[in-house]
Amino acid sequence: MDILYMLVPLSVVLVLAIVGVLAWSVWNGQFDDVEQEGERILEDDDSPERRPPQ
Amino acid sequence: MIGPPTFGTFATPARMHPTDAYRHLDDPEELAEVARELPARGDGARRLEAVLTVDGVHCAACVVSIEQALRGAVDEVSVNAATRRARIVFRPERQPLSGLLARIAALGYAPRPVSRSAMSDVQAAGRRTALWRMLVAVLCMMQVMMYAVPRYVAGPDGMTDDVRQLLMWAEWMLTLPTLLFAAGPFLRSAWFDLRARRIGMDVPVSLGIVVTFVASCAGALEGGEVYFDSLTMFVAFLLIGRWLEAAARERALSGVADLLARLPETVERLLDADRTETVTLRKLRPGDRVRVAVGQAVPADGIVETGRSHADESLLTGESTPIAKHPGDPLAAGSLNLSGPLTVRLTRAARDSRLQEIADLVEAASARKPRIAQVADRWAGPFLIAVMVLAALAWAVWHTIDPSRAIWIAASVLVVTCPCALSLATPTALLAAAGTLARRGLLARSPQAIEALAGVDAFVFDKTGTLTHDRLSLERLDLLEGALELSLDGPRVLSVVAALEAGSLHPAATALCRAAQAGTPPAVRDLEEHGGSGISGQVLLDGRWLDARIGNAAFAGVGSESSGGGIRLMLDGRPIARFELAETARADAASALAALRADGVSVEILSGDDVARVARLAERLDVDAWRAEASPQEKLATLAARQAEGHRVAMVGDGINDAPVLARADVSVSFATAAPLAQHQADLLLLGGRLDALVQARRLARRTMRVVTQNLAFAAVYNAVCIPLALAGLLPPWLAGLGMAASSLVVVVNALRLADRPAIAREPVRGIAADPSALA
Repeated sequence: MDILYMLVPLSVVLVLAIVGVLAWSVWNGQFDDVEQEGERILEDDDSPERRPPQ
Repeated sequence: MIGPPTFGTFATPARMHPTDAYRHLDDPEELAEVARELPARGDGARRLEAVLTVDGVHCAACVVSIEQALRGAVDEVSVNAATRRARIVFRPERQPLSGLLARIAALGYAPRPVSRSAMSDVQAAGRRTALWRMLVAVLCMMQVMMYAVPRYVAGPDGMTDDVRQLLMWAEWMLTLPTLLFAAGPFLRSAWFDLRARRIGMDVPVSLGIVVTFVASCAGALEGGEVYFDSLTMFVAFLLIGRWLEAAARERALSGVADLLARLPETVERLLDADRTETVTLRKLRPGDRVRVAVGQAVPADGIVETGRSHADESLLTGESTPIAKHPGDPLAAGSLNLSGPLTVRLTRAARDSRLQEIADLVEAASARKPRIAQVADRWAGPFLIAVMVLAALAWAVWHTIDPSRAIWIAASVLVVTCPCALSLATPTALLAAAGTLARRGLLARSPQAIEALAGVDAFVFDKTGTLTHDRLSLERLDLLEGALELSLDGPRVLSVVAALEAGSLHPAATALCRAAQAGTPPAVRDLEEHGGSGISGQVLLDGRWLDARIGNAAFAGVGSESSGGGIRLMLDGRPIARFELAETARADAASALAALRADGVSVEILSGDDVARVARLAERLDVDAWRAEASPQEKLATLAARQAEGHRVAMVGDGINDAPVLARADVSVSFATAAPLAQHQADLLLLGGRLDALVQARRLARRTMRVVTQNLAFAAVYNAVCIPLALAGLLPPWLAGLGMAASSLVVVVNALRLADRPAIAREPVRGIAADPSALA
């Protein structure tokens, strides 16, 4: 039972850590255009600098 | 690196030092980037128009407070809650832009002038923040549920108080980010509303959030009820709703953004024959030569210098058939080069292009507020006050019946009512429709135009330049007896005419010159133009100089008995030929008019031209009602008479010369000619020269108004059903949050049915490239 005093706070910390990871991915533009990465394979020129017109 | 999560930060730097933050905008060059010069009024002071995005505007009350804050300082201001755009007309000498923005910022909003380059960055940052808030709320919600479940399942005896306290503490810990960060926008805008002594849409919601939180904290400390799970859940639902709604709204607006997003960011400018440099759009100057690769958009208006290709101009005209482009052909910014590389000599800088004009107009129009929306806005304020009173009453009543439920019932009432749906109902629909219209080649100058177009049941057309092309063409050439004597055939006569008329700008002269085939025209001398009636001079034929006269019958010297119109050519006193000129009706005029009539609209032609020509055209187009030789006053009178009969009249005419007549009509339409678009006075501008667009536009306008009615009805029914349910205690707060989010979403999604997205013609590229002549 006592382990709960350890586990519950730990889970709170874990959630906050996940929130931090999400922050990193959002602000790095991971979700800016979710369709584009899938379509890129169909482009003739696949050098990463060239983005198709949006 | 992990980005710093900005929990609890309410103030942006802009809000801390409002005036400093905007000072750079007063620099003339920066100002030119964000504001457009308008013609001066009587006192001659400079007037500028700027469009701002104002973050934090959600509802009618926000709109009113911004408008009030600026009124007096600016000439015109209108704020549109759906697009979060404000359009202001101001005098930079009297009130600098930085000061105006600071005033808006002082109310708690974040205004930014819309400049072409910065626009997409701002949107991207806004999108990321919204997504981030939503994710935080959803994640915290899920975890709070996990802590709440054991408490509910265990019941009063299944858990020691210590563990219960521990779980409550954990819930509280994860509610904090939800409250302070995720719900930040609601709380912040409510705070600014309250400080300005007004009630906005976020006030009841925030009150609901805060009341639940405070009551739960008290409950946690004293062993009462806690509602952290409800709180996180409805904040999450609200944010999911708002996020989807913003995405939908952005989609409605994207028709406009697409226009400019299509332009390449950098361009290859030719330095000399084979050296190029890469420059940004802004650096392009008229006279520059740039290379446009296949699949790329043309960066600025120009002329093809080398290369052959096809261009897709659908963005500018709504016409999707690719147009062949050869050296010497004009090429408009934003058209897509489909099949061969081109070198283009620019005639205008990128910022002066037609595309930019169109985008500016649409931008300005989307910031204007439709009339129906203003009515909805007026009702939103009293409605919100009523909601707060109801919530207070509900709390008081339930406190006597069942004190444990009083708090969350009051919170539900506060959260569930939402004038969002009411105030989003109209603007979103009109906006989506305007975007669709723009893609089909019809530009609405204001949302009212769509509203008015839907009600129109009579169309009045001007003739020249509207039903017909504005140029004449040669319809018939009769050779007279003199031609036989001088043994001249048709082409030879035309080349003589072309030589005589070459210097004239008269429409008849240009038509005749066009009719002449290429060849060496005979030499001419002593040419003299006689004020619109004809030209006299001498022409060298077979080594002899002959006196020549060309013009109407009276001028040419043929008696008036055989006149009957037409242009005569006399050589050496002998009648040589008679030319019959006619206007060519637009190819789709007959079908468009027929379609309008089939839709139950009456069609009339009102022209200043002579009876014979109007009658001939009217017959060809199968129009019974026409009036010729009408002066502008008579046109006005006819229009007024139609309106007096109870018709709602649309006038289709030439947007520059017919301005007073157009202004009188319920809605006016004109063809966008070469003149700058801003000079056109009409409510709707036809970009592509196709009358079909009008028929489609009217149908779309009617559909739009149906959607608006549906939306308003839905919002009314939603509130009528949900408020009593909440008052009766049947709606827990999380369900209320879901309801509120869903109701605005339904309205926006319904409006989005009006936004169609034709696939951009990418596929035909290969088909055309296979054509060998295109690759040559």
